[in-house]
This record gives sequence, structure tokens and C-alpha cells, in this order.
Amino acid sequence: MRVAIIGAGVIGLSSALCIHQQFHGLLPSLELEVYADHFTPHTTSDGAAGLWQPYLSDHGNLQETLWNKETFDYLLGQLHSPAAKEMGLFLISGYNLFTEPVPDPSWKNIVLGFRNLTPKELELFPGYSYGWFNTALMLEGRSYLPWLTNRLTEKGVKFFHKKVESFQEVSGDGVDVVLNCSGIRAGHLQPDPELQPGRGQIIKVLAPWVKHFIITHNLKSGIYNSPYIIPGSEFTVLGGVYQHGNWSEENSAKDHKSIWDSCCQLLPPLQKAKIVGEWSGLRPARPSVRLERERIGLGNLQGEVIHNYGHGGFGITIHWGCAMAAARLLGSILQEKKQLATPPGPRL
Amino acid sequence: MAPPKVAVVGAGVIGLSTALCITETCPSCSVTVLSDQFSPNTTSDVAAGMLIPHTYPDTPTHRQKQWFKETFTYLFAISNSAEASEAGIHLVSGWQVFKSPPKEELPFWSDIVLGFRPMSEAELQKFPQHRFGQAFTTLKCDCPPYLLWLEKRLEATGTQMYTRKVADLWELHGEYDIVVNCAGMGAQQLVGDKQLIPVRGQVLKVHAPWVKLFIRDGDGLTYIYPGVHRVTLGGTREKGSWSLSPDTGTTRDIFDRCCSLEPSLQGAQDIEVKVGLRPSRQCVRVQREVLSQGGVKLPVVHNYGHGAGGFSVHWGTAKEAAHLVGECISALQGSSLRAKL
Repeated sequence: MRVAIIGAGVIGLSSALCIHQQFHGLLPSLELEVYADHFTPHTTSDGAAGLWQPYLSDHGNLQETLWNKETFDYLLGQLHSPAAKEMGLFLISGYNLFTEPVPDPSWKNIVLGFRNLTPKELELFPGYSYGWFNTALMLEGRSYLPWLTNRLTEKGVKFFHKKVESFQEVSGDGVDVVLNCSGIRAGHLQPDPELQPGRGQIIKVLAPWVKHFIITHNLKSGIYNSPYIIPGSEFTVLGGVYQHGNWSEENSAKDHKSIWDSCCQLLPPLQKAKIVGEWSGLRPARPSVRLERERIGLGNLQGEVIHNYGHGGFGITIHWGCAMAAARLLGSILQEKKQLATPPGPRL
Repeated sequence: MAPPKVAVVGAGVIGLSTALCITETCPSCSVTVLSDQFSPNTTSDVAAGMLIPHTYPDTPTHRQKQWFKETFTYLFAISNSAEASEAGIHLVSGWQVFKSPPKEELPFWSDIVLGFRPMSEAELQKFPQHRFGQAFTTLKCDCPPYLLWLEKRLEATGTQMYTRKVADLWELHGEYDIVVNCAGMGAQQLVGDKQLIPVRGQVLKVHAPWVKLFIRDGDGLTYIYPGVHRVTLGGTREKGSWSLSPDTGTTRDIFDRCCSLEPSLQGAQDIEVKVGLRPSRQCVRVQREVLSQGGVKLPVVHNYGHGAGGFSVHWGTAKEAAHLVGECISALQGSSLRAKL
């Protein structure tokens, strides 16, 4: 039984690992293969700061809220393991700022110590009159993706560096299931007008005195179109651009200026920070995550595709919940094919 | 009377901040800092510089609170300015955890730090050996940057700074009109204060840039304080020990205790061991005194004995000491006038 995973960002690699963990014992013949045109450090996940935080509103999508929670709880459980440092996983506290009161987010009880900001704290941020403080997690792609790759390699998962043009290309010949974790380029494999780029740009600076994340919100301009500052283990990420429908991966001078000026206004000490890099990436935005099975005709045979893409700007935040859901879908497929003698345990 | 000449003995956080306050309250004064050590070799350089007050048994609480409040307010303003990175001042959030219930549910400083509240059940789960906790946000003064920044500001006012070991305050008579004693542990020998006792502290300064939160055990012995470039791991409180040599057994013990609070510290690199002697006293001595010898008088202002709480109250005590220097100047001008009559 061979399973091909298309995509080696956080979604593809974590889905592969989760599947291996769940099924390797039950199905020793299971072989996993990862196909991607980009590997770390050249994936979208590598550019993300790595802060666990969902969007402000889940738009009633309770399923995604549950996947976010599963991811947070899983990562929190890993925090004290010896692997945490190698994974790029650590706790971080910080601020979400608003110009008016807003309802509490769906994730207020998932993160640690969620509370409103006090008047004295708001003095730090002129122009903002309301906000939250909480402790969350950072999972830096630059560390997490190599860690996932190492775990998968240890387990005998094979990697293929190629641009896959169709599902048929990787299926057949014993590959009965394809996991589509192709992120922003899922549309090349199967047209999906709901999948659009949410272009982001970030400036990387050295500002080691910054110990908190600071995320501002402009309810009119929408999520991540307002300055944010996220300190990582090596450098601090400055951002605040979300351009729907913009496919450009070139850094824009106009966006650079807007990010720099607004972040320095938000945190004056940044004026002395040294710029060490810049990056643009395309968030794979979709009204909801596409996580479902689809039967695909593959020549004479019928194959199955499990789609797992469209995680927008919250891929790291939701990745493990989605990986487990994808593994459950694989479990159903395996059961139908009578590959599994007994149904998988309740965890699935 | 010519502009008063003030000598400040000591160039740790107390000496430098006191000198700076004096230049502000008495712009016409000529201020000189004299010390046998300057940054990075002062006791202050060993300390983490966290603004978490130490309680002095014999100083009235309202006075300690006033000192802390003034210090916090002053540093808070700098932390949010363009000077913050040069001054090494930054906000840091974290937890103080207790194995048994803390003496006071609400310490006197709880309304001065930011966002003080009890830790939630979920937060406490990270510390299986601890049952209670407090979460808050406070400030940290990294050294050497903070001391170097104070020195830079002093230089801008024209204050001179000299490396000189003062063995006796009287040696300054004639050269200076007023002496300010910020000698820290050195005050024991300088003024023979037997109430001043060293409390030895050993710390590790490590490279662990993923640590963004502070963690402190309420017993004050184990703490993890992330600074700009290094994380300070502590510590010890050895009363009466004068040894400035690092102890390898202690290093191992500190590291183990900190790793049990924060396991990821196992991956810390570049471990540097430092030792400092906290100049400890039952109350901080901020006091005027006129020394007298053979009919000659020497006005002295004392500002020492801050023990484990130097950074937390430094600006408050500096302001009070500067005020006392002002009183000394008035007294000198008064007697100078009388001498003319």
C-alpha cells in the first residue's frame, strides 16, 4: 500500500508524519512518498513567523476551531520534550490590539492566560484603546520543517523533488491514495476558484530585546493588513500585508515602507533594529479549509485523493488537527479496501 | 559660594543613577564619580536587573513602594522609546510559581507591574511541583548596556568619572564639598557598617534565545530571566560568604534546578558563570550624615544596602539621595552666608 503526498510544507510533512504514526504499526507494508517542487527552506511555511494564532473570527466554522485546539494541545504536550528546541517550539506572550472593543475570539480558552489589557498596558500603544494579552506558542517553520523531514527520513519515507502536474502522475502502480497538500498551487492539479493567494510580505530584523508578539487589527482593512511584530528565536518578523488575489512573490518597495513605518510607530525601539532580510509569500486562502476525500479516475482504476489545502494564514496554527483528520480519512479508505483487519482505535 | 563639588563613590547602578539624579536636581553642581570598578566589573553587572522588588524588613512598605513605583515609571518610559535598545531596557512577561502558598496573596508591588493576576490552572500544569502562581509583566535592565547608557548620559552633563579606590571618605575632604556613598558592599569597610552583610549570588548567563518568558520560584532561589542577548539562570543566597570564585557544584545545581522549571534549557549554549555579593541590609540606608573630625566637617549622603533589590528601587533611592544632597548644599550655603556675616 503506497500513499503519495504532494507538497512538503507544514501540511504535507505533518500529514505524512501523522499517517506514519497512526498506521505504521497496523499496516507494516505502508509506504509513504512525498513529492514537491519546493522543500524547506523554500516553502510558504518557511516564511511564516510561526505564531500559533487563528483569525479573529471562525465564521461559525467550529470544525476549524477544533482542529486549532487539537494543534495547540498537541504542541503544548511537546513543549517539555527534548525535541522542542529542535522543532523550533517555544512559549511566547503578547498583545492583540484594537481601536474599539471586540468580542472575545473562539480561541480564548485554548491559549494560556487570556485576558483584556489594562489601561496602563494600553498606554504603550497610543491609538489603540482595546486589546488582549495571552500566552501562546511559536513553531518556527525553519526548524519544524527540517525536524519533520528528519523524522520522516528516519522512518523510511521517500522524497521526490519534482513539480507534479496531475494526480495521475503519482498515482497508479500501487499508489492508491494521494494526499493533496499542495497549498497555494492546488489549482494546478484541480481548478478551485475558491483558492486565492493572500499575499504577505515581511521584513526580518534583529531586535532581541523584543520578547512579546504585538499584533494590531484594523477591522476595516481585514486580517494581517495592519502592523504586527513577532519575535522569533533568531530574528524578529515585521509584517502587516494581506493582498487578496495578488500572485506576486516579489518584494514590493511600497509594502516595505508601509510595514517599516507602521511597525516603528507601533514600537519606537525598532528604529534601531537592523534589517537582515525580506520575504514575500502567498497564503493559500480559502473560505474554509478543503479537507475531504474525492474518488479520481486513474486510467482503468479508481483512486482516492484526500485534499488538505487552503489553510490561509493559519497553516501552522491548524496543521496537526488537519493532519489527524486526513489520517482518519485514510483510515476510512483503508477499511473500505479491507486493508485493515480491525477498525482503528477511538483516537481516530 | 562656588558651584558645589560632589563626589559620588561607586559606579554600579546606585552610584551612576544617583550621580545622574544629582546633575538633574542640581545643574550647577560639579559631579564626579569615583570607583575602583566600572562596568562590566561591578556587582550590578552580575545581576539580571529584573524589576521584582526585594522586601526590606526594616524599611516601611510605603517607602519601598514609592521607590519601586518611581523606578518602574522612569524605566517604562525609556523602554518604549528609541533609546530602549541602547539602554538595554525591555518588557518581559512571565510567572512566579510557589510550591506552598505565598506569604501574601498580593505583594505590595502587584499594582505597579503590568497585568498582575493569579496563574490559571492550565498555566500551572506546566509546573507539576508547584501549586500556586502569579503572572505579570515587568521590566528588565540588561547590564552592561544599562550602566554604559547611564555613563553616556553622565558624560553628556560634563560629569567626570575616575577609577580610584577610596579607602576612607575623609580623603575626599578638601577636594569635594559633599560625598555621596554609593559603595555597595564596599561601604562595610568605608564606613564600618556592620549591619551590611554580603549575600553571595552565583548565576549562569547562557545563550537560549527561544526563552521569551521569565520564570521565578517564589523562594527566590531559582529563576530564569531572559535578557536581550543572554538568559540569566539563578541562583544562590549565601549569607556571609565573601567568595567571588565560581563554584562548579553550584553551577551544576543551578542548571539542574532551572532545567526542571524549563526543560528546553538543556539545549542552552555558551554557559558563563558569574558571582556577585549582594550588599544586604535590613533597610536601605538613604541618609544624610555630617562627619566630624578635629573641628572639620564633611557632609555625606549614604545610599547603599540595596541587597537583592538594587535595580528594582534604584531610581527612587537615587532621587531621594539627590534630594538629600540638595539639603546638604542648602546647609552649606546657609553656613557660608553666616560665615560672611
